[in-house]
Amino acid sequence: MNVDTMTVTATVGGGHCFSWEMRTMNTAMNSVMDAIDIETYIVCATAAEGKTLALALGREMNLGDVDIMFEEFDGYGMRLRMRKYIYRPGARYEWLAARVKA
Amino acid sequence: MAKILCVPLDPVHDVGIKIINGELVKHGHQTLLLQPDLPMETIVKKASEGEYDFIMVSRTLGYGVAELLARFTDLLDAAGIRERSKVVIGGKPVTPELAAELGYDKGFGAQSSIDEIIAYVEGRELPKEAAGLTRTKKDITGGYSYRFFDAEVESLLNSICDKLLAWAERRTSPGVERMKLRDAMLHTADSAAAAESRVRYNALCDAVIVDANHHNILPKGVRTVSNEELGALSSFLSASLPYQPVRIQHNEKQPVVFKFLGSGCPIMDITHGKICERWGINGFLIINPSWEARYEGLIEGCLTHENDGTITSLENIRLMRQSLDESTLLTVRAHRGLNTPETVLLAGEAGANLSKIDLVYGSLGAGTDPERIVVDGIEAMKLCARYNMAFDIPGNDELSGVPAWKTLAGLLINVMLGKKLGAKAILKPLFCYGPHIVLNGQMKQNFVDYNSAKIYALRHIVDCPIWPGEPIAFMTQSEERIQSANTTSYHAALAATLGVDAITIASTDEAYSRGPICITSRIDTIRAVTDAFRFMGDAQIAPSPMAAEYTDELLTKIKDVLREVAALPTLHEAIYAGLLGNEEDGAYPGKFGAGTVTLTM
Amino acid sequence: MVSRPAPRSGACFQSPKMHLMHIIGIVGTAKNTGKTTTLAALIREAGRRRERIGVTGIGYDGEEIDTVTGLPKPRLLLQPGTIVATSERCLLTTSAEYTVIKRTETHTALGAVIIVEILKAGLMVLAGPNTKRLLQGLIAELEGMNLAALFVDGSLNRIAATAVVDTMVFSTGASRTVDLSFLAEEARAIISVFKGKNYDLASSPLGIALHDASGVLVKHLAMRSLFDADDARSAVESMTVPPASMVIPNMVSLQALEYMTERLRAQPHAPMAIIVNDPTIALLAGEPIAVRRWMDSAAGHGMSIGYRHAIRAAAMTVNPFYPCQHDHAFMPAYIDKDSLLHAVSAAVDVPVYNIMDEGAASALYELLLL
Repeated sequence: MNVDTMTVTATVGGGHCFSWEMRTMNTAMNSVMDAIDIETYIVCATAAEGKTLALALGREMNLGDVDIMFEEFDGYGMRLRMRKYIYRPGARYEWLAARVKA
Repeated sequence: MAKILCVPLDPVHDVGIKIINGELVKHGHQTLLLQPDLPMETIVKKASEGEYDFIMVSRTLGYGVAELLARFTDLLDAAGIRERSKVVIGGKPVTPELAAELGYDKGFGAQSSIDEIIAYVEGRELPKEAAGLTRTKKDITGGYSYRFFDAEVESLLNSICDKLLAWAERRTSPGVERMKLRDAMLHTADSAAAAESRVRYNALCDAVIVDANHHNILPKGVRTVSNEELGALSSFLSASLPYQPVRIQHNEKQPVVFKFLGSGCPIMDITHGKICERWGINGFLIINPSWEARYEGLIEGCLTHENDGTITSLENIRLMRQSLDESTLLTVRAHRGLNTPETVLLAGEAGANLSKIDLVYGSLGAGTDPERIVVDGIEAMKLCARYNMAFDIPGNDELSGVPAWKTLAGLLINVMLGKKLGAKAILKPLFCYGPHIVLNGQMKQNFVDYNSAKIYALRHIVDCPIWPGEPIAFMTQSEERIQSANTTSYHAALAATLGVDAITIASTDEAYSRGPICITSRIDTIRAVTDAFRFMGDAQIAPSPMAAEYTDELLTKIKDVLREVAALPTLHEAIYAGLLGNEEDGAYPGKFGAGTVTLTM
Repeated sequence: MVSRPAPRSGACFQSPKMHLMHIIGIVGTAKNTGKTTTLAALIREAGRRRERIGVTGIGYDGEEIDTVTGLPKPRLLLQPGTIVATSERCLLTTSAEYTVIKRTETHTALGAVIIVEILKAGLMVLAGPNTKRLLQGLIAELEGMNLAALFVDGSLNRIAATAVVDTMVFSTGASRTVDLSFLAEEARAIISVFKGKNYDLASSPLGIALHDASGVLVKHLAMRSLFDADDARSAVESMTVPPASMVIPNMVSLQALEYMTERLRAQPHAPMAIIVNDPTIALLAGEPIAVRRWMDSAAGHGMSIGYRHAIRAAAMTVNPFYPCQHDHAFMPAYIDKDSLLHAVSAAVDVPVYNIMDEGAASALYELLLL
């Protein structure tokens, strides 16, 4: 990952001076705290078709394999929620590394 | 007293400004509320006639509206009105930046409270408490006498507990001994003595634990949190300010709200915890990994773990305690497994506020041998007394299928034991749709009567705090997010109406078992419960007459169980005998640590 | 307190108060008409010429994403040595290094206005004094700091706070409307409003003051503004004969102006000047095109508008960009830039620039400061 480093020194009212280093992340995805959920309704003929389409949707959205958390086929289509974990516990979270005090 | 002109610049919507106008009047300010949709020049003329201190404008925003609102401040400036009047804008999307862009002196948006507006008009800082930045730590056990109202129950509990304490007095376990050695290591300045204690401590540990603590061979999926990560966490926390923290409770009587933390990673737990604090959560329960229960000894250090359950090392608990707000209550689960007394010791040393001990559930639901858990549990309760920590008693054995009366009888035994050992207990009956209830139909008509009956029965017996859990609405949630949030909020509303002291709520990921809980799911249920508390206020849910029948049934059967338990020599024998839950109920006495209790010299 | 208004020929290009620095306002006909782009270009020019300038804004501008449309916006890159007056909260997010010169008593919705000097170049958002009185106070603070100019960034279509500048640049463009003929007509109207006569009055009257042809105060009304036709009626009915001048301390609406021309049309009278503080008051009376139409029709009845504080409308800038609403979201869109430049240039007698054109920033800078 590319990291832009920017040192910021600021003096505000009363002459109080502080500075910190900001490492800005260059992807929005890195800023997701833990997971992305997608809730939608997919028009399909059967529950099996709905699931296949849901998994394909995750890939089309460049999320890779998603987990179908909840599905509910009602005859017209399927209401569902899919999840993609960006960070699981124990990972090194980029959103945290983005604010390292100088 | 301020003089204020309230201006609905909107062609239609004037509800918001009407409410603000009403509140300003209530606070003794002199206001004039204009009708909506007046020509701008007319409004400016009115403003020029009244020597107003403030001109408050409300308007919903859309494209082109910004220019209109800007023209309004321009006209006020041109008319010389801005030399004496502050111009304020309110509306859902209003931010300080937008207010500045439009030329207003102050902006109030969707997140602003009436209190903030009143405080601004009166030229005072909002008291910190109202802004939610500081809140006082709630003492859940405060005001309770632990007096038993039912003489028969009291006498049975005395008998059970006295016999148990007498039996346990001359017994110990590796868990108790390790706790004493750890205590010695923590409080000695003599390095030779500490090293000696360490050798003896290691001799009482399983090899896995010694390997982790001394040979840097950590269990699979566990790693040490780096100093860089700790530094980043500290920066992250100090750089982030909770944005106008909110309160879940609508009044002081409503229960405090707890959530579990136990993602495996203390950093994830803390960031989730801080966000939940902002949304009003009052306390957290740290849940440890299930494998920790099976081993003799605890791994040390600031550790993260890729699976469910956060390692309850001294360093991890201390990090969580120090990172959370001082007013936030922290409970450390101790009763599960072979390290109960040592976990309470570490919780006490790290400054935790509560621990979690249940001698019955610790065996029937959490796998520890009954004889071992009673010896360890008694020592753990003594430590609670030493650190002035209350302990909560989760009645989660009901989830295996144990009938409620057996579980409640178990809870009461723990309360009496705590009382005799100088530790304050908190009763945790389940608000759940447990297997026994499903099979026997107590919740066929509604979820209100039987949950209420548990509270009524306990109140009938003892003056002790009650904290339904764990979490409330257990087994009623599905993987469907809205349903999950709703059912949590309904049970929270019932808890509020029953006047209990605390509740534990799940996230909307409760029924989802294929991955860790995410932050949005945590916020989902907090929002739902906040709305439920607002909805209920000080009103009551009225149970059907069945609740009274269930209460009587519970009282009778709790006494039956206690009579049977009291007839046996000790509590653990009663557990082995299935009196507090048997194979038929789906409850099996645990086997971890069997045969490890020894007589002291 | 008798004031004697005396018309000064050609005075409209002079400031009544001699500032050591030029006070230049950049104002727009709407949001996204290119004020910030123009200011950014002028700041770059000042940097290139190593001239020390001050910058402030009457609103909140320079943010990365537009607060209304959600589209990216130009950001202000400030050079070392530049003096900036902005709100406390804007300083928290700046990437520039700076030193605080003074914390003023002025407060905006984003906190106290702080005067700083840039030490190391960086991006900053401007949110300075939001009223003319407060901006006047800031100008007084900055006098003596040896600045070549103070640039005052407008905000949206706001203009009232910039009444105290001596020179203005008007920005217009597709964001106001994509109708070129309207843009041209409005530009002509704006520039012509600035051409009113300048009257040098010793002091500001407390209420509306009526003078006879020899400059003697004949009547003093309690009113300070003419908000509507009712106000205009009571003003007209208080006169025995139409005065040679009517000095209005605060604001006047187009409705009031139209009422007066209507009432006095039938009545034979000597030339009558309606004197307001400055051209921003005239522009705020109504839509610029309507104000100009009134001026034309009033001239036919011997009435004119004049100013106590003239402002030089030095130039216009045009911006072909506009946010196009599509499916509840705004998308960037452009009209033909050359057609826009030609249409507006043909309508006005001041230079018109597309600030993105090569040499435009340099030419505008020279026009404003040299």
